[in-house]
Amino acid sequence: MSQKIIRILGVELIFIILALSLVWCSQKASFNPLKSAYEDSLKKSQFVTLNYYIPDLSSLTAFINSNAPLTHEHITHYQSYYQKVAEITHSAEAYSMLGFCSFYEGDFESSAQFFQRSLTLNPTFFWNYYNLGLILLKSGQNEKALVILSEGLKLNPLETLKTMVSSPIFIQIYTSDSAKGNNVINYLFNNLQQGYAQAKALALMSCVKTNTCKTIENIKNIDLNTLPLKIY
Amino acid sequence: MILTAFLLSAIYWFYLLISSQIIIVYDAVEYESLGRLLCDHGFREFFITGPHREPLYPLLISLAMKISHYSGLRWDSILKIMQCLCLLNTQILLCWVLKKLKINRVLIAFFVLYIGISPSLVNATFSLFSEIASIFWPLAIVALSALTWSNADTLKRGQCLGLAIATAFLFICLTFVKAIFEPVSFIFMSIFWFRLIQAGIKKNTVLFNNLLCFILSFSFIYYGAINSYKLVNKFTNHEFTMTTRGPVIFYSNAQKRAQSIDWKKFPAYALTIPGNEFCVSAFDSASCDYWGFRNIDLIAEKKVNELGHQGFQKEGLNQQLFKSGLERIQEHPFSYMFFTLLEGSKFLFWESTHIGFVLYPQWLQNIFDTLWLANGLTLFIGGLMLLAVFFALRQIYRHRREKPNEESAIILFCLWMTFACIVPLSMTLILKRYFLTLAALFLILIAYCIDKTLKYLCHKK
Repeated sequence: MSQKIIRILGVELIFIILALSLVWCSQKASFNPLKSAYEDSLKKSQFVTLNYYIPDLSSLTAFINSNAPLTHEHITHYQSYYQKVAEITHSAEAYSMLGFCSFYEGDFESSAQFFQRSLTLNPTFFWNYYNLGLILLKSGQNEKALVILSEGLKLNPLETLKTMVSSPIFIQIYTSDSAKGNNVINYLFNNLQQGYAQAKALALMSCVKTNTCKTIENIKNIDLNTLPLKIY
Repeated sequence: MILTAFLLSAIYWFYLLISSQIIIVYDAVEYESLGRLLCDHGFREFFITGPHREPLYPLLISLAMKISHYSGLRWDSILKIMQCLCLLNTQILLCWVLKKLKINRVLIAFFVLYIGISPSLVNATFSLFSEIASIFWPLAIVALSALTWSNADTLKRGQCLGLAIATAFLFICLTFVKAIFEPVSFIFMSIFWFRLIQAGIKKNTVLFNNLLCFILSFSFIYYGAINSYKLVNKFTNHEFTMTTRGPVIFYSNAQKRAQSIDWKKFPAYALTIPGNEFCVSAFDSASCDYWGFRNIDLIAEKKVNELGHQGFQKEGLNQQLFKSGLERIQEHPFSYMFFTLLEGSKFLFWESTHIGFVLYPQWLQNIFDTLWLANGLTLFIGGLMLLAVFFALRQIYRHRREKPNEESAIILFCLWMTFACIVPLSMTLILKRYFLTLAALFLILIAYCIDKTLKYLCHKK
């Protein structure tokens, strides 16, 4: 009996050693065909896992279309989803969405950090500049806001449009919005035009506040609370 | 031939070790975070922030995380190796038990191979759910109980005590993976109580004393350990419980079942018995989901909110949920019984290629997704299970007057353990993977049925 147990333990030990060597080869060895197979399956599994976390985006599209309020529960769901997307894909748009969620929850500091991160990853996306500029203005950092908004206004709007129509994160949102149908591009473009106009106004406002363009006194009085953040 | 079966399954597992990935969703998320909690802060924090799920599987995960920390390998890969070891041990024990039953060697090799490549068992091995950590224990319990049962009148006191300690230890391990085995252990041990009374009536003193020693020692050790764990929970988080999930699942299912039977909804339910995929192929997913696990938390959450408004504190909520569930059952006892009986029959359909939560290589996934193969396998194994259970019942009935031997005792305990599990599980909710815990026992019943039938046919020729 004891001999049998020793034999079984021996077999198990060999099994462990073989399995560990195989796993080590697939994860650590510098040149190994196993490594790429392992990494491929790992990446694929991360994307498959993401599918389980996709939240119901209808409240987000309702917010985009008609400023319908989002509940704390919605925001928490979106936050945990985009956090996962950001961890796996490191995409600029995921950080933008995290910035939006933090802003909505009133955490301006985190929100600014997320937009800054997104901006670093994709410096040609206009809405990051717009949103970051707005947050900076709200927190009284007028000079920084002016710099950011001016940089944003220099961007080619087509680059932003390109990001919006190619990013899976944005596609996911506007494909769940049945109201727009085939007019998505028009909608995005019109919104972008309005965004540029508002960014100009905000830039003027910040330069007035920083006393660099004193003549346009009335711009000082724009109510920031009437200007919501924009996803696209 | 048996060695080849072991080798083939090992090769298959090695291949899956590097080509498959765990998909961490639903309960797996909680297991991962509990594993991390144990790994980073130990049991103190586990109890203070509890009550959580049963501790043994999170402990296994935390061990994998610790090894990963020192080796630099990913923790999920280490965990997969550990889980393969669980399956390997089950395979070895299954082989031993089948040899005890004097099953044909070719059949033993086939069943050893099957346990190694069974889609549902392999899925449990390569996913992050606790079933894999529970597969070995019931088989070991059945083997030990059969040994005790068949030798109860010849055992010495020390041997009796040893068997009781070993059986209690196995049940403790099992309960620390699946808390449902606390009521199961009670039902399971009742057969020994029954024999004890019988021995008392027949004035068989040796048998009576041995069984009394076995039962009392078992109860003392098992309930001592389980209640100590509950007491620690009571002192640290004010809940005298193993885990919190039981009352939630019990209440939600009582709420769903205890209502006038809606015959329009019934066909959807009937099709969920062999598997949700059967239901989805005929009805919309909303009708099928109603009977599934997805709305359980939602239903319980509504009740918890209601109880909260009535002023119930967090500590008493579980008890109150359980009480509310019982009240619901009292309103519609027949409807509840009807659905509970049907729910119990789910154990026949434990095999499936559609359990999910593992990313397989594409070619394997394509095979698992082949409709006729997936549904065919579930129904085929379901049919075999039905035959095997009836065959085993018939054998037990035919040999009821004979002196129990180890062979008949193994079959008796395989059936008895199945029954003991079905009773409490069907009162709550049965997911396919829950019965994987008993998969090895089911395979023994099938192997026994096939072997006896083949031997009978050969003898006839």
